[in-house]
Amino acid sequence: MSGPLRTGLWVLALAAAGCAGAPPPPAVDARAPVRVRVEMLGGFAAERAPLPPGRVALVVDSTASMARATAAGPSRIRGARAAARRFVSTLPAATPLDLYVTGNDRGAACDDPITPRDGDRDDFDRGLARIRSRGEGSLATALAALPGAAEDGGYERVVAVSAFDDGCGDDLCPVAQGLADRGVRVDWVRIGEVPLPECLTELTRGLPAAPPVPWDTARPVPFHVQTAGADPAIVVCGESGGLPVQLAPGRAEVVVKLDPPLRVPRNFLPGTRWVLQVIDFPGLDPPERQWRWHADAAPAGTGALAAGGEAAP
Amino acid sequence: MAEGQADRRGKGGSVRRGRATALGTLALCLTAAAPAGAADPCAPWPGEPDPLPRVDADDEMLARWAELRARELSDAARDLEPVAPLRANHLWRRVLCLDPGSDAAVAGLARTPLAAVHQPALVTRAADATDADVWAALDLPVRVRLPQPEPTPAATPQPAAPTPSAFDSGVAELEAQVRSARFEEALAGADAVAASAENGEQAARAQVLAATAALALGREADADAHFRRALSADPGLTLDPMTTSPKVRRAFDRVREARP
Repeated sequence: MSGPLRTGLWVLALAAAGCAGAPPPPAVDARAPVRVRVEMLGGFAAERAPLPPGRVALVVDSTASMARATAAGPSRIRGARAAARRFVSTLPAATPLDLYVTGNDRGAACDDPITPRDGDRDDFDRGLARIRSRGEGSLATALAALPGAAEDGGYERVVAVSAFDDGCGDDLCPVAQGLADRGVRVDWVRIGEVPLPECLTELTRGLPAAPPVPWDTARPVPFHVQTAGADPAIVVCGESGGLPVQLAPGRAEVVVKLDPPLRVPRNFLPGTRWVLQVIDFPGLDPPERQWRWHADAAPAGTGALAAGGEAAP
Repeated sequence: MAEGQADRRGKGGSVRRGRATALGTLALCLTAAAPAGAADPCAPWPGEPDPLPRVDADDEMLARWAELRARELSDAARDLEPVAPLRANHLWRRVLCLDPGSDAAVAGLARTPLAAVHQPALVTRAADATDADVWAALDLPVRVRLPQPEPTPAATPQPAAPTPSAFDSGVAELEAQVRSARFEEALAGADAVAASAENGEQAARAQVLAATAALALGREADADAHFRRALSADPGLTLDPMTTSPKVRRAFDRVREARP
């Protein structure tokens, strides 16, 4: 590279460095609009609607193996009937309950499907009394066919009463995990002395990753900005989580339509952008609410919340 | 730049920062237990900040939100436990996402397993015990009515040899199990022994043995339930301080004092 060329490049580099230096701050137009948005960090609503009682399925095994005697003396099927009868008698009447019986039909195959027995709760006693140990059927297959909590008319809880040694049908372990994944809790009621596989209680999942309760909704909260003073006039309206609203600089009051409304006055300097962050937990006892301003240009989470809620510089 | 104000209509908790306990690892375990390709169990739900903050977040506003949210979810989980245990379990796991050191969430998860095994004893004498809720009652002894035996021709009565009653042999076995630290076995058989008791004092004795086994296993709630049953069977029950460990006496006294 020749000397004059090298010198020229140095001059260009120095000029570029000079251009990249801090420019003088631009003059702010006193009428430059202000932008404001509201961010809600909420909780459940004040009133949580009570959840209806979940549907329960009672599955009683009446396959041939249930005819065997227990160590205590009575046959397994007698024990199963008695356990089921007591369960039904103590379950609150408002809880929807369906009774299923596996293997109640003589000569039925292992994969014989099960259907809920007809009849209301009063008929359960008679239905249980009629159960005889005589057929075949797979408890695993029966349980796998039950609709889960997320499905229409599905079950939140299944009570399976069995001796767990019919040797008919599928492995219970994946069926148990499948039920948990579909939102069903299973109570295994063992009649007799056959040990149950540990996998039945060593489940690791349960329910898909979605809110399990209907109370948790992303509810946008309307807000408006009004002029400060004794006779306020609404300047602009918006919704939390939405786009920022634009207003003229000066004193104003942001009113977030919570219950009770949150009113936050502020003197907005020209050309500034602000986020009003609001924590609102009306359902807590006692309810709790906090708020803070932070500059919209700054990365979220850089503002400090001073102890006691006082303004931080 | 930020400025803010707290409107705490009532007492508010302080932000817990940097809390780290061994229990916190449970949250990691829960995450690790998720199947490959499954959604992040701590992904935000609709309306929650993204990413989901924790109580030890650097941003105090987000940390405060996480604390309040964890408290709210804990309340809801407690309400749901009796009626929808799996939903409650789901909420408790959510609390651990927000507050990995939450002892309440760990205890809540222990109370709401995804499945439970019940092994009721079959008995032929005592009435069905119904002093527990419908789900806990699945563990209690079940009374089974036996078919009436065929009448047999009258035989010459023979003097009966004295034999130990079902309760006597059962409670002896129970005591042996507790003495030899076979606590699980003791717990499994205790209700059946209690159901074979012929009076309240005997039933209370079996329940105290069961409570002792439960305490040894660290199942304080189970121990309390057995003590309550013991006191129901024998309201004047006291424990001999010479033969009962202080731990068992303390737990018993606490249950007795809590009774109305």
